Amino acid sequence: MLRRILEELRTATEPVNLTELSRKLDVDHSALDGMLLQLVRQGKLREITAEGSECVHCGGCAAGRASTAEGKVYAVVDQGSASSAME
Amino acid sequence: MDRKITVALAGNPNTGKTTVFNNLTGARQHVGNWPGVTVEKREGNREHKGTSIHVVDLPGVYSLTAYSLDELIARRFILEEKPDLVANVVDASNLERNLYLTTQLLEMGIPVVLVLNMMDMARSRGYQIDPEKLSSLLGVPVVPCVASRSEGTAEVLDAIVAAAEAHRPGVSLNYGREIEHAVGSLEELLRDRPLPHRATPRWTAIKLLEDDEDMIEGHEEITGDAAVSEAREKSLAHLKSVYGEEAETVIADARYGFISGLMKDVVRKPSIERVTASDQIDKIVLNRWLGIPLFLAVLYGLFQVAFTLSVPFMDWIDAGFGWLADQAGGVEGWFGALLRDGIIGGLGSVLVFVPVIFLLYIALSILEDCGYMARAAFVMDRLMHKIGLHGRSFVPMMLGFGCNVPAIMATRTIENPKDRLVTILVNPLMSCGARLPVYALLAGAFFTAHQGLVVFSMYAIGIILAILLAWVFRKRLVRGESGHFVMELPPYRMPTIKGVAVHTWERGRSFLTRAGTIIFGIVLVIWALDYTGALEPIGRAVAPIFGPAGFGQWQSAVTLVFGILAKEVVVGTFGTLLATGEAGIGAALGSQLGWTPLIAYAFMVMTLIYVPCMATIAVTRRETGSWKWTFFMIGYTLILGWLLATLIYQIGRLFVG
Repeated sequence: MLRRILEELRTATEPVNLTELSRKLDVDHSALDGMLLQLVRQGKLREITAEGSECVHCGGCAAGRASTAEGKVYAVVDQGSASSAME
Repeated sequence: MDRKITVALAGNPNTGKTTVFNNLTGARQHVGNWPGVTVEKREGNREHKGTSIHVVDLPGVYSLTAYSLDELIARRFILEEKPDLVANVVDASNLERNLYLTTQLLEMGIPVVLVLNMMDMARSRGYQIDPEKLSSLLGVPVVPCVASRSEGTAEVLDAIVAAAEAHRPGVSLNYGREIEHAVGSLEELLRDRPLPHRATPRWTAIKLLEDDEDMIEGHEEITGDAAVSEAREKSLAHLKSVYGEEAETVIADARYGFISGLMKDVVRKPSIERVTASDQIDKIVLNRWLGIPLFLAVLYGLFQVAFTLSVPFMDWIDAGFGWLADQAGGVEGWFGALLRDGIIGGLGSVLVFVPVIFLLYIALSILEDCGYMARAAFVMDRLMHKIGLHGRSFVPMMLGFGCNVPAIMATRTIENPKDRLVTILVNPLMSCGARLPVYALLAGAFFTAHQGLVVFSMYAIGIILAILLAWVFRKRLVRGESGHFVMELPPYRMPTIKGVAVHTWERGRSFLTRAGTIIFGIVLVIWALDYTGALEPIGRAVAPIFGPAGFGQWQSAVTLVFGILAKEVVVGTFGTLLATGEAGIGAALGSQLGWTPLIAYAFMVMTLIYVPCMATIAVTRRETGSWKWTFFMIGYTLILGWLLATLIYQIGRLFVG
């Protein structure tokens, strides 16, 4: 199942909604949540948070944090990092 | 009492494990700490049918890997203390997730009793679970119970006593030919060696293949053994070549495969899954075609409501500052000018927008707390993804609506440097909260009937430009693959007054703090420069640049120059430089500078796009580590802002004269 999740995400042409993925793979939502956690631990996925930013109470979190604090967001970890573009 | 046994109570968090523990032990509990750590250890005793049962409550864990302290504590206790059995508490309504830990307990070769808790919840969801079949497939006793109602406690105790007596481990999972072969080879090598934590050779072999950190780094006696190490490396390379993934993933996958098979055999779910209200709403909100128009409509409604409702409050504050200015009218000399033009005119002109900002924050907090903003981010990202921007870019982009500084810092989560650079470069186009007072001032003065629509258009222009430029930058400057992501959307719920109040205050406090410190300080400096006559020459030198855009007056030029320090300063500077009087800054812009609605709109577009504030510039330099890209950002925003403002003014003049 973990490999199917990775395959689904790697071949997705747009962001995936967890509820849709759970229906597609016929897995309980909570079970899928556990599988994603496994993939995060194995370094295959990365949980996206607003980490790195210092809170300045600017209000931006209404949009940015709302999508990460309660509803989790996971991204597929790139296989082989790209060369630096900031030169 | 002729027999004593030790039972470890294991389970995922939120499975009712503590309630089961309380039911099993009653009042005979002892609370301490696990050795060497500050994690709570609860133990208790119970006599049942001639057996003294010592129950140890292990920390709630999802698995028995080495990723967290709780997991290490749980697995070391089971391996080293060798309890007679493990009572594994699972949530029957979330069986598929909970059984992952069960598979790992079975791997350890210890007798297990499966406590199927929350059966009432499972029944209410229409799940029919067959405990006997589950028991036969796992090879362990399975006891249904409802711990919250103390139902099934006697049966759990009976099963514990019987299982401890039988001392029979459950089934051994089969991981498939390739993995089993690798496990078998390692197991053979490990059989005559002293193993860490008194573990079985099979469990140790699996951990070695899983690249278990605790096993690999903590046990030199195993990993330092040349034969073991060589066999492990060889197996890992072979498995990677066969499966295309690390053995760790393949092993976990096999566990989930086993669980999936179990679920099909022992659980019957309602043929039609219940469609929740959240699902129904999401069909519209996340719809491919309706999602974005709906988001824009919500944004428009938000501004419309905030601007309409704030008018009377703003009038009161304005009247309050007017009264203060009257009181200061009699003060002579420089101090009187400082009071009237610097403090009351400058700071007052910013503070008058407190109601609209707080109302916007209230509306945003409601949208956040009810779960809509997460959906908005999702539909927006779907669009961003289409233009090739990385999935992880959307959090910084959304944060940019508040302040571009933390938004740019949040790009650190983007691993791909090219995606990160593009996200940083376009972030200032997301209209931050500091620009809002400028829009509110000009929309209120020149577009009274359509304030909400005009401010909404600023945000929309920002979003459209950010998306367009991200696409251009991806194509021209920094090419590369874009990534994929999966997002969990929280269920919709009714916002609470307390939650909305707390979130609103957190955000509003920032505006008040900035107004009282940074903005106040800068406005005082501007007043001093103006009072000493140093400001006008600066303004006159710069003003001709802005002539084609319609705002070529020296006062306008000064506000834009000092607006680079902080965008709210634009409003404060107008308040200081213009003799506002009763009618306020808006009227003064018309009467003293000859501004028309067209000029005001062009100026708003300029404020939206041109050079980000100093703090954003500094954080861009720090995060990119490059002056080249920092100056590129300053340059392109300045040129783009000027071009668009000029275009709007020049084309607009053809229609409105």
